[in-house]
Amino acid sequence: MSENNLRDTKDDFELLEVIYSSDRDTTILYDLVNMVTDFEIFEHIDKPFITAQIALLDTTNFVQNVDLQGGEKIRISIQSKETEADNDSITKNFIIDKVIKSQRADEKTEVFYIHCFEDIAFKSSLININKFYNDTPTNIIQNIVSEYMGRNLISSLDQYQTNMQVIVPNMHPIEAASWIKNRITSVDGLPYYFYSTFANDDLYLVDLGQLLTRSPINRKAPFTYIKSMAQQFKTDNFIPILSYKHENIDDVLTLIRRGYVGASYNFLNTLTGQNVNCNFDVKEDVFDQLDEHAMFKEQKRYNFGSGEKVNDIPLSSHNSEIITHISGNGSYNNGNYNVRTIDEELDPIAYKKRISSSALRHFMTKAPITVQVQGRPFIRGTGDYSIGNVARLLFLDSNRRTDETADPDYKKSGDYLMYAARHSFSVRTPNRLTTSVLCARLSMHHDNLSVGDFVNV
Amino acid sequence: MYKNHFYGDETRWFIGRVVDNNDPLYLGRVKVRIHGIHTGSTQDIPEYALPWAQVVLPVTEEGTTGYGSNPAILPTAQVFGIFLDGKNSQLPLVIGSIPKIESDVEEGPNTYSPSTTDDNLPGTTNEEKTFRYLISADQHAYTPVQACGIIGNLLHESGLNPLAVSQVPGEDSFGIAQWNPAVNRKQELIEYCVQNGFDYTSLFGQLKFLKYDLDNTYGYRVNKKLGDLKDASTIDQASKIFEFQYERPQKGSTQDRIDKARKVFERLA
Repeated sequence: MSENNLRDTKDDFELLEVIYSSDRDTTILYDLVNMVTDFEIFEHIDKPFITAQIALLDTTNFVQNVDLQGGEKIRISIQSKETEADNDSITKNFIIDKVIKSQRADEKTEVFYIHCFEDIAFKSSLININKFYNDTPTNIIQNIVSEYMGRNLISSLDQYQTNMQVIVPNMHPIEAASWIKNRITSVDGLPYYFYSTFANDDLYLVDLGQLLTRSPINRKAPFTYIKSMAQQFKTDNFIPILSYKHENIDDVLTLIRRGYVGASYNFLNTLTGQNVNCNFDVKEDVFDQLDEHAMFKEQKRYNFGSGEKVNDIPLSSHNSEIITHISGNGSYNNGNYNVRTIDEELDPIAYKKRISSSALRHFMTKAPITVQVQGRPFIRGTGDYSIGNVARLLFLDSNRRTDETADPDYKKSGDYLMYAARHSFSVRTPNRLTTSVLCARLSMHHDNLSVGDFVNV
Repeated sequence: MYKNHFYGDETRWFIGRVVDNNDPLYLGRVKVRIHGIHTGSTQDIPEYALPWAQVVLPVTEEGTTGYGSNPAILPTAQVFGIFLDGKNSQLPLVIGSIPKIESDVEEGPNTYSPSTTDDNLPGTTNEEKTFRYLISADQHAYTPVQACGIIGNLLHESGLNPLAVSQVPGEDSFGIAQWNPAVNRKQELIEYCVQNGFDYTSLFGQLKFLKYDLDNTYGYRVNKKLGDLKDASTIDQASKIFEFQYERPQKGSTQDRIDKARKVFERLA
């Protein structure tokens, strides 16, 4: 079946069950399927858990009878209806953290909007870690995940990071794992992302290089906003973008003020009294390095206008900020100087990689675009249509040509990392699912491709 | 990467209790178990894992190499300080001590208590604990005769006190076997304990290292001209092998070591 013909069948999905349970009375299990009118599920590449918001139409005094207090469980099972053969379902376990609001629809009917965290996140909030670790950052995160979160961690293997010694200073498991994650880089100075997806229960710890070099999931059928040209091509070649949002982008001044364009970084070690100075230039230290490693073969116009100058000096050559931090005081040095703690590096180059990593994380979201598309592919459970994968978008530029030689809008078109997603399920007749995907990227294509190139690659 | 651009904007202060002032770098640093940051559980945060805190000296001291006095804070002192890295809380700096009413029993979750791993050793005295550990099947099991030969030496070296520091000026050998930092032995003890999650200041950690050392490193380090300790069949033989091939002290203490070994044998074996 072509992806563009998804709407041919009746429902986008089937809501199999929405089971409510409470430990206060374990004999009661309510299936709320008939009460749910809408629900949304959110996933984000900086969060190793998903959240949900559920609208319940209460005509039976349900909320009053169960005495909803927060902490109750909700299990949602959804089945894709993309093909007749679809039998796999996605089941997610949530815990209610709050009722956002309730509204009277009429004298006898009330609508409750309930907010839930995936169980892993709620449970994590109940655990405090105050513990010593002496291991590689990846292994520390692995240990935290297996000991406290009970999930499988899929991580990109990079032996660049050596042992560190830390005492986790009263953090929840997710907070602690993210704390460690934010301090590590790949050997190329790329940041790591720690996330989970709606599609399955695994947790992922993957560096940006691996994420961005993935092949687009919809290479043969990009998300497109070219309604006027739909007839020019086979309908198989498009998944229509229903709407999009492209706001507050290219804010370079904020990045300059945060020290991610050009800045002088200093890392002071009070045990030795030595200061490591790094003059950071995002062009030379980040984007030129990506070019040198041929990280991105197709999209090599980066999200930074490196030719812009002030007083004849490129923006990135200005030391616009002086940033000084204490990296270490030998707190774990028992006579062995090859011991480091969380903000400490043994190699001065590693400090620059850490700055680059942080800059890349921010440049990724410098020019995001949010597109709304049909959500069916996202609930197939196969994991390809999920955050952490690359999606191709296609927009027309403002000229009037409508054939294959027409130019795309390069500022919006191209391959993006799916950074976050909001899946909006509408439980009506027929059941409808739309997904808003926040797409982010570091670079775009050079302007030598036509719309046809995008579609036919 | 950082919330603030200047480290001075991230200060976080603390109150803690000094548990160790035996700084291997001789910079007057102290280990502090900090209230609210370092749990009282010596399982999750053993004493050896606590960070070393640098100590601020008054400006009336010269503050440069070879001049001025050293910090004199002792274990059990209550101290005030700041974390140089703010909420990351890995880099403590002690600014001063806070006098307190001393009591026999310290209360509170961060009260220092001896490592529970020591308590897990069977026996009531360090001598008995050491004997029973050496003849146990954990790593290599020594015969009672061999164990007593070792213990006689350890009693001579340190009285089996795991916190013993050499009284020889400038030597600073440490622990039950008086591992000498000048030839990296103390560092090897610490590294082994850190890697294996033991407290290097505990009897348990030091016994684990001793057995490991005898089974592994030691065999390659010295010429076994007196034979292998594992083959020793008399107290005299075991004591001499341990003395000359492991401890290698200055001459003159052989008989005392043998006498001590014999007494241990009479008491325990």
